[in-house]
Amino acid sequence: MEMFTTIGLNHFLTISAILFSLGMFAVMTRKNAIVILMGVELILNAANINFLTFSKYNGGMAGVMFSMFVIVLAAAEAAVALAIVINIFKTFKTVDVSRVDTMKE
Amino acid sequence: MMHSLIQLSIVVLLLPLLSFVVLIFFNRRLPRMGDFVGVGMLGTAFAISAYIFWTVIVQHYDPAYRIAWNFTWLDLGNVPGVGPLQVKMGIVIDNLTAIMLAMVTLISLLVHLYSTGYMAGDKNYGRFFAYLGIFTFSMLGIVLSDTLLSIYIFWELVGLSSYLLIGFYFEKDSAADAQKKAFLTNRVGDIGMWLGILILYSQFHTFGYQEIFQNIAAGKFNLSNGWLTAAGILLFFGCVGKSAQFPLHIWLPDAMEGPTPVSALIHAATMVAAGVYFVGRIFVILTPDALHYIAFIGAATAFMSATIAITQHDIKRVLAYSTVSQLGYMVMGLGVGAYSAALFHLLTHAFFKACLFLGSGAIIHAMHHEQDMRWMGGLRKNMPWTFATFSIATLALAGLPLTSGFMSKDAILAAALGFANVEGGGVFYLIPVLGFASALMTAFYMGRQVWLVFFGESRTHLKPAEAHHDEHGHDDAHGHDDHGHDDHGAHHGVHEVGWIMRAPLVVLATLSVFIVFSPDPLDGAKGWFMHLVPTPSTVVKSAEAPKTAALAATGGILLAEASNDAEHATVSATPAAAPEHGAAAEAHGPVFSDPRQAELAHAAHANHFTAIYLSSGMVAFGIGLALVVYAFGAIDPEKTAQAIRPLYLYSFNKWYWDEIYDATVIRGSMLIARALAWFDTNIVDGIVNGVATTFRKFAFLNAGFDKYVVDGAVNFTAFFVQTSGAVMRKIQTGKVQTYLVMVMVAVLGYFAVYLVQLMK
Amino acid sequence: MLSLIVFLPIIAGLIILAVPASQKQIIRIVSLLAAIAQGVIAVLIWRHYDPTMAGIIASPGGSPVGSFQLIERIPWISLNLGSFGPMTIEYFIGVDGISITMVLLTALISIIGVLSSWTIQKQVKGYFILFNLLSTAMMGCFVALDFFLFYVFWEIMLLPMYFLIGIWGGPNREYAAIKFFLYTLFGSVFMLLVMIGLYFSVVDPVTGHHTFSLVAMASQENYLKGAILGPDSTMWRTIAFIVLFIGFAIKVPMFPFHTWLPDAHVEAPTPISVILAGVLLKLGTYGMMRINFPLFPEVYHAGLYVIGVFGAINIIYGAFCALAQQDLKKMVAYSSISHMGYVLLGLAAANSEGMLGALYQMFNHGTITAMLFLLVGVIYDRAHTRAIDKFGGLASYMPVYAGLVTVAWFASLGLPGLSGFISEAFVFVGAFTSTTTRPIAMVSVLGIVFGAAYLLWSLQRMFLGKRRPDAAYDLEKDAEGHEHIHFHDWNGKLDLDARELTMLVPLAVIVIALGIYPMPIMGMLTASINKLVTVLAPVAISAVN
Repeated sequence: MEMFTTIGLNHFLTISAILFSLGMFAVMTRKNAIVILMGVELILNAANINFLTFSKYNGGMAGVMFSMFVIVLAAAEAAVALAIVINIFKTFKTVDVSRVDTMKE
Repeated sequence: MMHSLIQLSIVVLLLPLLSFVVLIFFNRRLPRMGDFVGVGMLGTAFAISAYIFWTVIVQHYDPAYRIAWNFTWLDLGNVPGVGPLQVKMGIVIDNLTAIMLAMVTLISLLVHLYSTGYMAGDKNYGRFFAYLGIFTFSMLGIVLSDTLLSIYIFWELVGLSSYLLIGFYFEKDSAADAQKKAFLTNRVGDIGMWLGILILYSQFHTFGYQEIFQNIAAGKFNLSNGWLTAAGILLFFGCVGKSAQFPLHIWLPDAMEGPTPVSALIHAATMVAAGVYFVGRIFVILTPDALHYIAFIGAATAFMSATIAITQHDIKRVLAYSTVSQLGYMVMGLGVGAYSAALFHLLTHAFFKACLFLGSGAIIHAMHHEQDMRWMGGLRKNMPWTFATFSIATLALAGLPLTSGFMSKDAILAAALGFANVEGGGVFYLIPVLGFASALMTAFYMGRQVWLVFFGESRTHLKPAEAHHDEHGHDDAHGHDDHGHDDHGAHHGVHEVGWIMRAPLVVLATLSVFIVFSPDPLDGAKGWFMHLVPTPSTVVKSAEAPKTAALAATGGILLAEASNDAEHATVSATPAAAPEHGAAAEAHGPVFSDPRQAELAHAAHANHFTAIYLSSGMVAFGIGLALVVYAFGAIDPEKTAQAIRPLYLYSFNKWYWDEIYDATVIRGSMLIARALAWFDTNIVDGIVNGVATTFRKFAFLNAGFDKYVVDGAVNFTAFFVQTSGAVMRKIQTGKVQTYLVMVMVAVLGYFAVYLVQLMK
Repeated sequence: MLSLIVFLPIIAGLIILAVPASQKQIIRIVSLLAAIAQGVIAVLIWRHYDPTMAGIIASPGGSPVGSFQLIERIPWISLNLGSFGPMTIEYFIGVDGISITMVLLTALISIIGVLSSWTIQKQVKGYFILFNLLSTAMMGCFVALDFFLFYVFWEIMLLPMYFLIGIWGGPNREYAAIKFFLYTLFGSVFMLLVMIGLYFSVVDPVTGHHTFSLVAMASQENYLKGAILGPDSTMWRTIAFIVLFIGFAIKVPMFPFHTWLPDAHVEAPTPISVILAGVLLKLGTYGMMRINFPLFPEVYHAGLYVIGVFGAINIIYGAFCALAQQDLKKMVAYSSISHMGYVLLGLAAANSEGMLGALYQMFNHGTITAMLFLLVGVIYDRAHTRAIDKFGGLASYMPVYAGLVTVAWFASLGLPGLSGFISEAFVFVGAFTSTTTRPIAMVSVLGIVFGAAYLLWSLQRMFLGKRRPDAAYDLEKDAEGHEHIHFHDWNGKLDLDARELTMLVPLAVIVIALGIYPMPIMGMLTASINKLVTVLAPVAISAVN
């Protein structure tokens, strides 16, 4: 029963895995570019949880440092990605990624 | 320091050249087209030559007189195997040169003067004088040359001037043909001459006469004696060409296409005699064999052309053949060893033949360019001056006593008789026989000519309206027909020519009289010429000269005589021959150390009177025959010609030499030329193109291999890549999500494998 | 100084490159100025040349560059080839007696060529760039003393020539151009092989390394024993001599390698014919004198008779072929073959007279043939035909032209007083003096007659007599009854115009002056020729071996 009473390493990792899977699911199945971006944010945050978790249990501040970088990167990525999406919309009049396939040929 | 006479002779040489240069460039800008330039230059040249003549001949009167000067023309440096080598050019003045110098400039001056009348009104009047200038320059060059190379150079230059002057009326095809023929025929002779020069040069590395003579005399000629004979004959070949000897005589009659003054100057008096002059210059190196060859060629030429001259109608053509015949005499004279006599004949012939040609020019001029003797006649009354001078010259040519021609011709014939005796008879008698026969024919055809032209009634009206055609129709001397014949009927238009054309005739006729050359009309040897131009001693070792036993016997006797005169021999060989020995030498002729030459000289002397009787008889017979046929009409020439028609045609068509050469040499050359040109385009170039074609065929084969095998492999690779690519590209959707799914599948797959392995 | 004369035309070519193609006159003037500058330098070189210094070969123990003059020698390509040792190709140029005459000739003919190119209208810019490149290459060939450098210039020469014939030529120009190119290339491929073989056989006595220096190669003591072309390798040396000889003989051109010449001449424009006959043919015989003979003297000596026979064939065969031609330019082309035969005959004589005659003939043939081709060009410009039979009587209507033709024709047939005679005479003197070639000389003199025959016959057919019925021009009478002729499509001066006179008169003056007094040119040659004969003499060869 300890598993349910004491919050340990496995809980954090489970949360992280669920969050990652949700993000992955969104990225793979959604056609709306914005939703895909949101999925990416979920994946990044899942990774953050992992960093912090291992930082907590292993001691040291490396994991915290990495998560700080990831947060900054995520912000930058969101800004750039949204700009790309806006440009795609301007060009293709849609944000449906399945129709943005000019590279295919 | 240059001798003053040498300096003067250089001036004489260069004056006509200056005349040429001035006239060729500026004749149109000068008044009278600059004829006064030519006449003035030649007048000056003649005056200087006369001074040289006076100094050398009259003042010195020395058989051994000789001054020479030379300069280095080319410096070949230190030639391996030879040492320092220079090619020199030089001038020599001896008695012969002084005489020739005066003769050439005199006749040239007279021809210049004559041409101012004869050529007046010609559109290329100025150019004519320019050409006369370059001719005179080249001819004087031949006369003055001291080396074989320089004489060859001037030799070719007179060929050029002859070419230019024969073709002076170049619009006429016949003239253009004649000039080409003359130049090419001469070139054939020149090849021989050049080879002769090469033989001598190859032994001694010098072109100078004196060095060559000294080297040969010193026995330094390293090749066999046959080569020396060959050198002599080859050098003589130059003379064969230039002096129109058989078999290269064919150009001279055609050369009459040139204006008549040119015929007088070049093709009678001077240039054609240059051949004889040249053989005279190299006389001392001629071996007995070479001399025999020369004698036979000369005799054959004299005889052959005399037979041709008999039947010709054209006034200039008769004279042309008589020139060839007389040149044959000179050559024959040289061949029989009568050096002095031959050169004497050269001189006398120059004057009377120039007179004859200028006289014929006067006739042609007066007759409005009619040249056919059949339509002349009776000109004696209309042209008394021409008649008189022409007759004197004719008598000289025929060789009647009291003329200059008699003395020189007689000396040659006497030497020919003596030569036949010395050589032991047999075939050698052919030479004097041909000589005397020619003398007879000369008298006959000249008698015929004088009668046809000057006596009887005018026959101008007999001329057919159309240009007459003879049996063979190619009487190509009638080029002047384009002037028209508006004077049919009588000799209204025929008047004596002006004084400017008459004066030269008078001068030349005067110079054809015996007294100019010798006080004794029967013996030229007593004259100044034969004294001053003695036969030089040969430099060829005569070990093998006496051949027959009879010859050796006479030779022995003569040797004994010669040894009596040994004193004279040595003295006259040295340059400073004392005057008191001159008298002795004059009486017996020069004395030789060479037995053969001594014999010949003696034999010639011995036959002197025999020759006089024989030749006078021949001349009398010849002239008499001419009178019988043409004056008295006792024999009808037409009927006689019909009776011996083949012979007549043979003579009339000049022994068919032109046809023979045309059929063999000319056609042969053209055939070879065409064959070789064909060979060049089709065989040589064919091989080249064939090689090219073969390579191209091979290239095609190679290209096939390349295309189907090598390139096939390349193409298959490309095809394989393309096909597989077409399959693979289906996976490439261009959608990031698809790729992400693949990544996921791949990662999961990896995990699956990893897990399975962990299980184990 | 020498580099300047070599590269001036290229500089002119670069300037032309910057000029717009429409400025034809500027392009021509730049080329002309470069050619004239070249001529001025050539004359200066000639004035400063010391004719007592022989050149040809470096005497043992003496200066490594021999008695050559105006030497420029700098390393050009240096490579370390490991086991082969350092490979040095030098920019090594200089002149001696046999090259200075050719430098003079090239400068002279270049000026004439530029003047003659004035009438070229098609792609003037390209034409003159190629022309200047050609000019540089020719000059370079004559002054190069490094075999590699010589080869480079030799090959550079081909390219512009190919285009000049192939673009600016007559109707059949592509065929002629490719024939010329392949023929010459065929020869030079072998030259390349021999050159490499020589490189590995010769050692520079100063540096001890292999070298391409022709001066070092000319000394037999610099050859390595046991090398492929070393003194003991008789077979390979013979083969090398023969292939090298063929390479040069093609350029001469020697029978049977001559058939490119008539085609090239007939198709080439006038200035290119002038250059081709005036200079390029001399490269063949120059190469023999500079490279082929001194490098393999013993083979040369063994082959004298054969060379002489080929010379005689050239003389007589060329003359006969010329006699049969209907095209005036083709006749002149064959006359070139005949006249180059004299050069070969002189070279076969192996004595000073013959060699001197040969080299002097090279110079004289350059000037005389240039005149001949220019004169052919004059009539072709007017009549648009070169058929000898399509004229007649021209002497009456074009007296100045006829006069110059007479000078050139007579110079070509070797009339004394004109330069051609002296060289031919010396060739014969030399060939006859040598006992080896004496019989050949006796046959070759026939060339004198046949040479006169074809020239005089063509002179007669074109200039003498009257206008032929089928002539290429009309006969007109003016009001005063004077006859004139008129060429179709020709509006220029009937007789020679100023430009044509500017080209022809100096050449005629040179031909006459050198015929009367040849020492200005001959004096430059004698020391070198005597040295060359000494080097080639059998005594000298056996002394080394």
